[in-house]
Amino acid sequence: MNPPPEEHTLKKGTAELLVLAQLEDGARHGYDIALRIEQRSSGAVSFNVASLYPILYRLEAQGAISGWWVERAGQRRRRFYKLTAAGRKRLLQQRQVWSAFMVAVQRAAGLEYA
Amino acid sequence: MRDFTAYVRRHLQRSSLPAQGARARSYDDIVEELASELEARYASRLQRGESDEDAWRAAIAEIPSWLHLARDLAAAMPAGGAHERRTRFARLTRAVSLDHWSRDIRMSWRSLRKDRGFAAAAVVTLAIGLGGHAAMLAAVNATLLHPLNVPEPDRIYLMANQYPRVDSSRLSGVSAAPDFDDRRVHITTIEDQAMYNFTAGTIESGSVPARIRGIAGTPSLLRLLRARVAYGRLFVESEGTIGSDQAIVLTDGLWRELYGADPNVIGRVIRLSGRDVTIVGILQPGFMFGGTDVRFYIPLAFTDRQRSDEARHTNGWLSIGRLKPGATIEQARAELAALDQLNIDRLPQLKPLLLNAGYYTSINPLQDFVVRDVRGPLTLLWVAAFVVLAVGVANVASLAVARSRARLSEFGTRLALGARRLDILRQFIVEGLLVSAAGMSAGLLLALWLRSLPATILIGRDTPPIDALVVAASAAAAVLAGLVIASVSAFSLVTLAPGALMQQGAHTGTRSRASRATRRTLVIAQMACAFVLLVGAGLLWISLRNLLALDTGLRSEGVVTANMSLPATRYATADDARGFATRSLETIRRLPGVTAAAITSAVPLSGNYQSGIIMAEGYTPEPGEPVISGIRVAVTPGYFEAVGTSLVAGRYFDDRDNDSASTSLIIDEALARRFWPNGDAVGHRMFRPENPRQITSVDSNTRWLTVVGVVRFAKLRGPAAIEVTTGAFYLPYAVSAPREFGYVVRSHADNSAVIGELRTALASIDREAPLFDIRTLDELTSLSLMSRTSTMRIASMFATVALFLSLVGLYGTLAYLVSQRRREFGVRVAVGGTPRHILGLVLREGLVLALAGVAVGGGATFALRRALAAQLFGIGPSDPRVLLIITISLTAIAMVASLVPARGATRVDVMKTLKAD
Repeated sequence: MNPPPEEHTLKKGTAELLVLAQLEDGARHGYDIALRIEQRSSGAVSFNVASLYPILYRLEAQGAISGWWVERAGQRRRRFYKLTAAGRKRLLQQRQVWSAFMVAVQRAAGLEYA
Repeated sequence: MRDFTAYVRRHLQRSSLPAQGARARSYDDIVEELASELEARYASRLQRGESDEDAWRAAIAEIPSWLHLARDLAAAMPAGGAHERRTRFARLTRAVSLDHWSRDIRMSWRSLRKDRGFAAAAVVTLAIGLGGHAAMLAAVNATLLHPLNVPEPDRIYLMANQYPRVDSSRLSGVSAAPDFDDRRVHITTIEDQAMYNFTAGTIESGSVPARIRGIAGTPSLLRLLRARVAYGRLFVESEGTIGSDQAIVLTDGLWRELYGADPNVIGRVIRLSGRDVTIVGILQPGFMFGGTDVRFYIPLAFTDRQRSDEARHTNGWLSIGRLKPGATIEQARAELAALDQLNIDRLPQLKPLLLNAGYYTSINPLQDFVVRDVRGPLTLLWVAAFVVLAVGVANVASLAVARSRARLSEFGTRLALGARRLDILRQFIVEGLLVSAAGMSAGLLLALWLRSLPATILIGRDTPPIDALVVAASAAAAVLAGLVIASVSAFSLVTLAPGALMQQGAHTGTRSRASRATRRTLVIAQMACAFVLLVGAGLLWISLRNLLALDTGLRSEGVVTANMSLPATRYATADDARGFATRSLETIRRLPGVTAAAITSAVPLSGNYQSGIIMAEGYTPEPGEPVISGIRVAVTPGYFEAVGTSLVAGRYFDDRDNDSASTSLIIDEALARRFWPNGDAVGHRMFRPENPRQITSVDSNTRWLTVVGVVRFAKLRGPAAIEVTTGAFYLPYAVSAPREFGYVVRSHADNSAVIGELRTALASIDREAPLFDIRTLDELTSLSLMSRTSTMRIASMFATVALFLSLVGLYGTLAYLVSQRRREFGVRVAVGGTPRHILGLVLREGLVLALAGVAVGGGATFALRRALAAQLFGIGPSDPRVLLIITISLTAIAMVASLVPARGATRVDVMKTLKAD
């Protein structure tokens, strides 16, 4: 089911931040990233494969994350991703940007920051 | 299991993604990643208890629109090469591809470590094969490929006078002194000519005079060889004339040994064989010509007489020259042919003789001449080493086939889970290469140890180096071996479908038949190789025994020989030499235990000999018959008794023949039969032409000799030497009294005692006349056969290793076949078969394999018979006795090797095997 357009726009903006943040404490594969986002946002934000993968590939193309294949005996091979140094810097930047933005919006729209 | 890969492939069109550069994410990778993601979600839903249908639907719902996804993916990934090269993404993907190989290496390493038995067996087998091969390759490289250690050795040619109808046994290598001048003038395609011969001298270093070998050559020699001096200079032309030739050039090795690398020895005068010579130069280290025992060079100066027509065809020197750049050998041959014609016409008396003899001048690369004796044995041994390597690789391939069968289900699973066959094949290749790389490293270490083995066959060289060529060739062989092993392992993989691989029963049916046939073929090939090598080694052994048992015409037990060189300065005249000879022989004959002693101009089997033309009075040669040339030896009375050559007619030399005017002559039966086939040679007269004129015209100056005795034919050059079969003639020593001669002493006493006393006795007569090369006749015989002995030993070693490896292969294959037929044996026993019956089945299998191997090996031996024949003596390459003995032995040993798996087969537990299905 497609999410409502407003959420879609917001989600689009924060998507990179969300993905990068899941890789902060270690390498994960795609399904794991999506799962964490869903869990930590208590189901409010979720990515399906079609939304997640273009983001992953773009981040990798830009050098923010690096991916590699892992093959375990008896299992299909999975692709794992980790943050690069540039990725970490970007995560930090994005966090600062979004925090500042949230504060600004709060003030401008009279929101209470929960 | 749902096939997500196929699903993704179906929906994601390859064309919807932009063309990717080589380093970008590939379509297959994307497919695989998406498929694995979908599968993960599907699997976790199943785990949560959802139905298969629901889980599947939920999973594929993760991608609502493939069109949008393709578009988004395309937008997310940059296309094209230049952009990629600049981005870090490009670097990442490059890491990904290397990642493939490093992962393969890690996986292969882990897999081999788990299967240590296989890895160890494979590495050891390959090490043995590659090591032996590398050692022989080093020998071949050092000897056959680089026999001359001088610049541009392939342009140096040897010219020699040939008389094929007089002595056709093999090409002669020598020329006469006048040829030097002739060839320099007439052969324009050759620049820089030289003549030389090997010589020896005594250098007094400290108190003990040491005998060392050197080369006497025209001053042009060192220039031709492009030798360089570290100090001083090479010879100048003027030093090539009598009277100005007291110069010497030392090799680096000799200089270091005698003078401790002191550069101030230039100009020093030293005594060489009683002559004063001045050191004019020291050669650079690394220069080597004529063998490592050549340690000095002195100028060769011809006397006028030697350069004159009278000395034509008195051949005693090696004549070499460099072909001019751009000139061809055919041009040189043509010029030599023209010169020959000129020379044939020059002396009319000689012309018919030369034509009868088929005289011509040969020109061949010096390198070929130098290696002609060792080329055959070394090449054969190298082929043998290669065969051993092949047998080893076959063993490892067999093992790999067995190993790969055990991992079939693992591969099946991997294939089903999305691995590509290419990935698995790549892993096989990496495994094969890892094993062969380890084998090669160990093998090269082994080769370092083994390379000294063929050294005795090599000509004047130290242990051959394991240089870049050898390492490269070994690496190539190792890579080839690794690929063979990999492809044999992967064979079953390529032909099977993944589903079939995973089934338990995958080891029956057509595939297993193919692998059984492979293993059987490998074993038969191995046994055939072992058979050929065993036959070869056996034939060589018999040849050697034949040679040792040969009646050489000499009785060598208890005979000691030694060489003497009287210094020219103190023994200037022939009388001086005669005096010394008499005195020394008197002393020696008085030594305890000595039964006979004599002096000879050439000790038998020592490699020295001279030949000369001899003619009989009243003998008219047939038209076209060439002159007769025999080995010429000067001996004192007592010689024949000392060496044990028996008398056929007449008498030995005695005191009557002990003066310089003696005209006595003793010939051997070969010459006697030649000139007087029907009658008695004793009493007849013969003569030796002293110059070409005398060959055809007998005159008052002819020095007549009378035959006083005929002796048995003796192989003076050694049992294996290609004998100048026209025979030998013996003159009394007293007539020519050469200063260089040898002693032969027969004694009851112990050899070492005799040697000691001989030295003391001679030292007491003249301290400064050194005795050298003291050896028993038995030792000389062994030395003359040393090359053959080494060849046989090495061949036997290879044959044994090949046999061992083949038996291992046979054992392994039979054990494998037994395990394959477990069910069949179970059934047989269940329906009443006896253990002996089962035993018989397996033994029969082993017998069939062995006999098949023998048959193939026999065929190969027959095909190779001509190559082998050249190395044999007294036995043919297809000798039936040898073939029979090897056949029986090989079959018997194979039967013994088959016993263990056969007995294992009889212990099959019927219930267990039948239940296993």
